[in-house]
Amino acid sequence: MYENCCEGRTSDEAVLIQRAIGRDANAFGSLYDMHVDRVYRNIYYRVGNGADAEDLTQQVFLKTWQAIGGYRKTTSPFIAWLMTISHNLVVDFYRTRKDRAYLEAEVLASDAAASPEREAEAGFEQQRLRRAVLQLREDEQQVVIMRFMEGFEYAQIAPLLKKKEGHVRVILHRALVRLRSILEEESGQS
Amino acid sequence: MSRFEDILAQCVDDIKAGRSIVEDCVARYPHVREGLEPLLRIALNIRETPDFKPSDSFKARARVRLMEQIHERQAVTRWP
Repeated sequence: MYENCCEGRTSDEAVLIQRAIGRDANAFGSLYDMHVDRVYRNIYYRVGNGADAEDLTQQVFLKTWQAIGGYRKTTSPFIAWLMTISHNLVVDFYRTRKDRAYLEAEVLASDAAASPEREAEAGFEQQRLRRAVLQLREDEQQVVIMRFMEGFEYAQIAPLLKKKEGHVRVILHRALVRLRSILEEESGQS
Repeated sequence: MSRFEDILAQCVDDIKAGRSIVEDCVARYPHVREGLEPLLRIALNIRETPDFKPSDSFKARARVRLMEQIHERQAVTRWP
C-alpha cells in the first residue's frame, strides 16, 4: 500500500506544482520523477501489458502539463488528480477499441506471458482478482483502485468523481458485491 | 451506524489501519455478518496487488520526450 505522502515531500511538491502552473518545465519534470512509477503501475494493472502502459503513461503526463492550470490543491492531492487523468485515458483507450474482448485477451495474454518471478509474486489468486476487477463498471473500478490500491480517503476520491462521500461508499459496496459474484461464477465454471 | 455500506467502509478502514481484524469487525455487527465477511475478505485481498515497475530506460526516454513536447508547445504558443 502506498502512502499518500510525507510532510516534507508534500511541501516540496506544492512548490513544484506552483512552478509548473507558472509553466516551469523543469518543475514539471521533477513532478514526473516523483510520480511516474505510481502512474505506470496503476495503468499497467488496468491494461496488462508494458507497451500500452508506457504509451498511456506518457500521454498522462503530457495531458497533465496541458491541464495543470486547472488543478486545485484544496480538493484532492496531486497524485489523485493524476490518477483521474490516467483513469480517463484508460477508459478512452478501451473505447477506441470498442471491444471488451480486447481487454480480456490482453489481460489473459499478460498472465500467460508473465515471468516466473512475476507469476510467483502475483500469484494465481491475485491474477484472478485482477481479472475480476477489470470486469467492473468504470466508476466501480476507479473507486476500488483508488481506495484499495492507492490508499486514498473517501473524502479525496469524492471530489474527483464529483460525488458525495456517501455515494463513493455505495459504489465501493456495489463493486465488492459484484466482485464476489464474478469470483463465485468463475469458481463455479472451473 | 446502520447503513451497510458505512459499516463495510468502517471495517475496511479499521482493518487497514491495524485497529481490527475481520473476525472482530463481523462480531461487532452480527446482524450483517453473513454479507459483511466475504466482502471484507475480498477487499483485503485487493490490497495485496503486485507492484508493476517501469524500466529505468523507459522512464528516462519518456522524460526526454515529455520535455521535448513541452518545449515544442511553448515555442508554438510564443510564436510570433
